[in-house]
Amino acid sequence: MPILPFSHIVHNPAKDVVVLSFGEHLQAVDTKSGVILASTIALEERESNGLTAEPLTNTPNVDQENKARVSVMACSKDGAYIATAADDKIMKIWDTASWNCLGTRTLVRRSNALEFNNDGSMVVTADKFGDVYNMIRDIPDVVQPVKAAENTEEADEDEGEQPILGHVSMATDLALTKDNKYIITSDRDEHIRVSQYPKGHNIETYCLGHTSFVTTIRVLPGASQKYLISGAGDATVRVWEFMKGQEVQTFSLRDALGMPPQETDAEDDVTVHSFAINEQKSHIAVVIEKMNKVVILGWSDAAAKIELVKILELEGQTLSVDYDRSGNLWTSVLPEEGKDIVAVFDSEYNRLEDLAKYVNTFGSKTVETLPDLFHTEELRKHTTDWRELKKAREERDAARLAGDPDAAPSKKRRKNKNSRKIPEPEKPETAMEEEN
Amino acid sequence: MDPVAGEKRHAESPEETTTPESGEIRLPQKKYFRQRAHANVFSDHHLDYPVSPAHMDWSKNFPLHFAPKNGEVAEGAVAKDSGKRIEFADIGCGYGGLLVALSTVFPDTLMLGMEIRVKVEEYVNQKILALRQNHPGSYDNVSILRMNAMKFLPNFFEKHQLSKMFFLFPDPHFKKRKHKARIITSTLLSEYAYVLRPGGIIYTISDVKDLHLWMVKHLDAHPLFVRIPDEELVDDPAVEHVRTATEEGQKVERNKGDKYLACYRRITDED
Repeated sequence: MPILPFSHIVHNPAKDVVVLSFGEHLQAVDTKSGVILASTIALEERESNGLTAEPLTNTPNVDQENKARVSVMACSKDGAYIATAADDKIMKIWDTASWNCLGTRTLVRRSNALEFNNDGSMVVTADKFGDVYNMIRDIPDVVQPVKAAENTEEADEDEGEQPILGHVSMATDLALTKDNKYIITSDRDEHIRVSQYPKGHNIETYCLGHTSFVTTIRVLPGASQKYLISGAGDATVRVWEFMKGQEVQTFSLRDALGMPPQETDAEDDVTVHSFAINEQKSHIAVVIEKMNKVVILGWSDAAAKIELVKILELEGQTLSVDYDRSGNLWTSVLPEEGKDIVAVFDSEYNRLEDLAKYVNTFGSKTVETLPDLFHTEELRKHTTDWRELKKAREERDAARLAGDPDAAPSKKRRKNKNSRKIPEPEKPETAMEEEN
Repeated sequence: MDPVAGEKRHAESPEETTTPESGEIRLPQKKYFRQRAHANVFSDHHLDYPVSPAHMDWSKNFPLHFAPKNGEVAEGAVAKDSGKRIEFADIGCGYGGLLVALSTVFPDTLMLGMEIRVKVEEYVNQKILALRQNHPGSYDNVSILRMNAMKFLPNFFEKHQLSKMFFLFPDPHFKKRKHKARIITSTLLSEYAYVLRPGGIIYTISDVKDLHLWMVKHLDAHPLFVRIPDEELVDDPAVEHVRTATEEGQKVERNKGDKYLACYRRITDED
């Protein structure tokens, strides 16, 4: 039976620890020894290869664990807190010393991005519906009963927390600038927006240039703090001088990977999943969805330029990566049969077998079948031009009138209202436009 | 409405609109361009929009003010941009009554209507083209685009480009769970404030009191908008057209319904 791979890796900026999420669970790993420090689930006794599992420093209460897949995770700058949000819209704040859950809160919608502000007093979340909330970290240790999840749509929108900004699109990521004066948000409709933080109603500018959904954004390291890197479903990584909304570089991943160019918004185009940044070396690790390669880029703040450093080959499709405090790169993959779920590389990208052995031997859990671990596919648009649909329909009708028995009638009329629930895969777009 | 029936009726229209009659082109007839009054603003419509305002080729919309981006000058088009930029945007312009009225009131101002419904956009487009032919020298400053303004305004307009935005008789979206689809929301107002210059004006009008109160509530609460008192509106030449020029406004008049107007000025955020 397969071992569930880790969906997210987040390093603690103040401790030698990385936190890994798998399904609804979390595990914390010491990045110096590789030992698992804490786990929200008892460690499995698997074939141990002669290793002995070190006793866990902390095992949180079972009733504190998440009940759904952790979809996003963030660590506070001082390393004291981890925030997680799960598919059931529950956000939790964890104490990274005791691994107790300090607070639980029901979000209005599923979160796609979480970030702490500098002093860790606020947690910012960007959600599936495009709204961005600035929330006080110290939240009550109860699931707020005010809004049952399924009733949120009926709830009065003026009650409760108000968003500081919103996109009429799915928000895909957010980044606060180092001085916390600005918040940058990205969406499924190719937009990157720069707004004041926390007064998000003041929009400074937009960074426009991507030709497909933007998946991830990060402020680039360096003295200037004026550059942003973005990844998208259009096979590019772009660098922006974000306060000017100006694109300074387009980096083609297809070129870097030696792949031929492809038409815009092709279904299976190279999609950037996420970035990890090594601040000391100014390296950016680019995770590409469903690919067993991680593209390592080097950033020069003075030259305002990214360059290819290396293409790192992994043993399976990459799920998540992050650099720890020492500059080692922790990578998690969807492994082929019998292979490891985690590989660690030093800052020269040589593999460090010892650091990963504990987590590969005792980490995560065995499952009957693996769930779908890739989620950006839903971001790509599947529209068809109504003019093309109309033309195709007219051609079919003409062929039918001309006596072609193979030409099917252009469109079946609906017999009754209920039949609209039956999906009509051949023409979703016109139906949407004219009926909704 | 059954879309099939709607399209069949529509199919008869094009020839009629181009039939010349005593030298004048007959204006398109609205009855051939009816479309259900609602569109789902959250679904992925197939829309043509530029990557950014700098990428937009306006030459098809305003051939006397913008040269084609590809450098191929079409007949009746200019070879060089006039230097004018669009300043008025009519969001959800419907059958375009306001644009046509304002076109001659502000002959030197470029104005654009945005409408998400395909057939309605076709109608307004044909109407503007016919008006331009019948009245040479006029109506070159108005045009329409099929667009979802809730999503793509920053793709068309630069920061602070617009001086007026119109939201006339918008879809009321009565059901509570549909309120998020309304065109005036707290978060969308921030986007309107981005494309609107300080001092610019948002005009809203509705015959639905609940919607009017909703718009007022959200505009009042927004830090970047302040209501313009009614007495100041008397001198604004746009206001009477906001009340009377749209098809929707005329319908309300025929039915002797009420119209609720609320206009707001875009201010800057003082700390």
